Amino acid sequence: MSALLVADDLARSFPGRRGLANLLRGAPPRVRALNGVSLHVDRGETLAIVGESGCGKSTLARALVRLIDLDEGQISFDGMDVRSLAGPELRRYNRRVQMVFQDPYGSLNPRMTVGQILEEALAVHNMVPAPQRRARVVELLSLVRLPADAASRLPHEFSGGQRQRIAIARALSIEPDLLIADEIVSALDVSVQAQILNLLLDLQQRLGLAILFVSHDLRVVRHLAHRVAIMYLGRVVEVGPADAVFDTPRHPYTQALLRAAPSMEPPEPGTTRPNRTAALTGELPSPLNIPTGCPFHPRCPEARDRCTTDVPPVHVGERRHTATCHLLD
Amino acid sequence: MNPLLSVRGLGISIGPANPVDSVSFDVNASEMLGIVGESGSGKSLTLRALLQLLPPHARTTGTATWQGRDLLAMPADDIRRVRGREVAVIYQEPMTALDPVLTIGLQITESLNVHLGLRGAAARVRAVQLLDRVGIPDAKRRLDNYPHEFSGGMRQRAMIAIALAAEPKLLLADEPTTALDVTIQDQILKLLLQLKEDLHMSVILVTHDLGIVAGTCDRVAVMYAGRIMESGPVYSVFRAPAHAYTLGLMRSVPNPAHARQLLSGISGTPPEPSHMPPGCRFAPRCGFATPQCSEAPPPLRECGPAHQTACIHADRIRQSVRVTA
Amino acid sequence: MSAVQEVAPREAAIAMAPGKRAPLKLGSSTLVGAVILLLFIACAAFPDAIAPYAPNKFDYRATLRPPSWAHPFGTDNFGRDVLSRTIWAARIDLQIAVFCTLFPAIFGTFVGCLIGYTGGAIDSVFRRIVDVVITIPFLVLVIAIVAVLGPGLTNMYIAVSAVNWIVYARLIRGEIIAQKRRDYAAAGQVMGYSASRILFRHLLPNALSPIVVYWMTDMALAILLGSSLGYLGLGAQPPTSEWGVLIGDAKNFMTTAWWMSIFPGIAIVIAGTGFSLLGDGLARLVRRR
Repeated sequence: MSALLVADDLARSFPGRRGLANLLRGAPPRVRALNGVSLHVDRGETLAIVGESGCGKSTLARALVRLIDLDEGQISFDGMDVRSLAGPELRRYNRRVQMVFQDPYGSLNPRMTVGQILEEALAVHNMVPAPQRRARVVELLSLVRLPADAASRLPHEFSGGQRQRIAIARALSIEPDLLIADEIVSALDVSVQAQILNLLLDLQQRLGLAILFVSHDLRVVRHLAHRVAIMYLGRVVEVGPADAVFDTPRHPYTQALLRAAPSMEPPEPGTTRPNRTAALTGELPSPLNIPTGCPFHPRCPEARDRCTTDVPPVHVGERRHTATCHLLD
Repeated sequence: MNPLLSVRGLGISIGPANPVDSVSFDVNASEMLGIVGESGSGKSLTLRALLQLLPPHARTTGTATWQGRDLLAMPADDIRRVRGREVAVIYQEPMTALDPVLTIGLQITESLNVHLGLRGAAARVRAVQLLDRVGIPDAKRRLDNYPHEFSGGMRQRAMIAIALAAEPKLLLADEPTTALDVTIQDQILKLLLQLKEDLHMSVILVTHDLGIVAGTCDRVAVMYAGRIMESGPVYSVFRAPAHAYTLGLMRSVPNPAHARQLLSGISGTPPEPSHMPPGCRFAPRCGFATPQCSEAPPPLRECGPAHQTACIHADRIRQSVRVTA
Repeated sequence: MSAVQEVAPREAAIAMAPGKRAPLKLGSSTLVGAVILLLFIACAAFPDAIAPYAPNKFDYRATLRPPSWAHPFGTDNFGRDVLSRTIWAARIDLQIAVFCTLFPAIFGTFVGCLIGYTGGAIDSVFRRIVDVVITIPFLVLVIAIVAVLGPGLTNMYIAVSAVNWIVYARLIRGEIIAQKRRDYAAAGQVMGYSASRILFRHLLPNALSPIVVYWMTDMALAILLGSSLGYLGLGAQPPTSEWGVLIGDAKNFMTTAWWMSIFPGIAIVIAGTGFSLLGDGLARLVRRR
């Protein structure tokens, strides 16, 4: 399998809030959202990006579709240098790399009917001749399992799950090779979430779509992903095949994350609960002030002296299961 | 053993809509009861109704017996004395529940003052103890911080500290970890478990996450469209669900053993509160439904030790669980 | 993939949520506003049919007569019928309401859109201009420009338009910036839509409602401004019937012939109320979406 998209050493920082204290100190602090992120997505596969808030996963998603400019790094898509694209070339890139957003209430223009939203996408990219657009809209709606009469309605007439289907239909209308899904099921109830996950699995199988699935929900990620990348404070700390990452996690952060996620197995009556202490102590550090050495060391139960000073190297294991940790030396 | 709180036939009407209908459950001493349901199931409304915290145009029926008195019928002055002192509440978003212009310390000492009559240095000493108790490091110094200087997890801890000020017998927790990251959620849930055991306090935990219920609760009540569909000990509800909705909910949650396979969840969408279906409210979306289901609302009935279901096809559902297991 | 086929027909059969919107209720106040404005529009369109006398017909036998059956609003110092003049004035005043606001609304919206969407240096320059303009009282600024150009309706339109568009531009700039932050704008960008499509087809329709509401209020303000300038002799020129001019004509007779000033004054108040009520109704309508 060849890589469809390769990201290499991406970095991006934002100016922090300019408080009075910062003004006196001079330059405003910088939030380092991405701090040297490298990864790749193969054709037809699902790569999941997992992490807690502030880990940079949404910044990464937006940078890949060029909604956010990068400070450093390279993105290449099917041999193209993505960061240098402009004008019509950028629009052609966007046709092939689509994105669905987290908030199904915000990502659809509230004043356009679903039919207009889909027809506009088809028209701008000349996907089908004008007379056939209406028929194609109906096809797209049935692809995401919405009735044909949805076309004449406005977004506010739909539930959250239905709106997310509309957003997916819009993204798929221009037949992309890669779909970037930024927390698209986080705002949905679990039964609706299951419907959307089924839809994604089905679409991927039918259309051979590659999916970059950004989420904080480990259960959902394990269900959907071929490969998983775990992010912490703007860095990828572990990446590998989904079963390897979930069954034999190598990085202490991944291990803690898996222990912290609620399991669906209640303890047997009469037994005491197995994990009585929290998986991980301490707060999430602020991306304004990233710890030296390994960024995870202040919370790491197994941190050593070296972890506080040296940036850990990347360890490549079997099946390209890599982790960034001194303990693996 | 008498239950600590006994809710019978709780109904809430807001205008023509009937978002909660004949809800009954008990909370025993030192027990954590989970109320689980999706948005619009009425789980949060149920919780708020117990302390008369609903918007003024909402009407409640039924009873909620607490220490021999009905919470729902209590005059305003009496319920105010129950709130905070005997029954405390924590919310999903501490930032909206905490006063942004007062320090955390002031908000805790205020609570101590109102409920226990503690003042001055004594109140401050107790406040430091409370912050310590909920795991806020360097409690003495943090007392003088404002809520915005706390992270999300710390704010939730501070809100728990305020709730614990008067040593309530019952804590109502409304989605207390929904806004938090998974490692922080884990910390807060473990803290609640610890507090429940150490202080012999009961907790009603409202959540949408079955995993949280499995990990923290002793008993669970599953709500859908304003009614309790099933209730019982967590272990037996998870092992042998006796309601089609519970089963659908559990099958909607991805299972690591069946990665990348289609989930057999629940089709369709929940009913509008103003257009509830007759009979069983889940029947229109239910794969097990028969015409009988739409005739009359099925009452909760025993289907195992302390296990109740409102499904007339409980046996068929348990059979299908056994077949697929 | 058999499971898909099994699920699909059931899912396709999902009944759509029934339309949740209650029937449109604008309220009686909006209706009153609309009726008032229609009345004034009728006066402006067919003054000769409605007014009992010609507006400038002198009648020296009947000067300064108080209200009577023959002259319900009385007559002025030249014996002109005040009712007829007030009716004819509606034509000029509605014209003022439209001409003082139409160009600013369109031009200001266009400029505000571009500034809000582009941001950066242009936006900074615009904000400085706004800061300067809003420190000078609006009326003083307009009077200054009219003083340079010379009095008269046309020059008044030019003066008001030159200043007023900034208000609209400022309003729409803020709206566009707020809409630009929403995900549907980002979605349009990812869809590969051109900037002008995103701006004019997606952001503008969503940003327009406050403009429409403000426009209604602004028309009431324009009538007030036009009458003020007319009163000061800088706007419409006598013998044109214009409410401000009528009140200006009456200023020497305030104590002796109160009807000369009161009735045009009431007309201004009622017209202003009409625009405001309609503006409120529109605001309510817009907020529902």
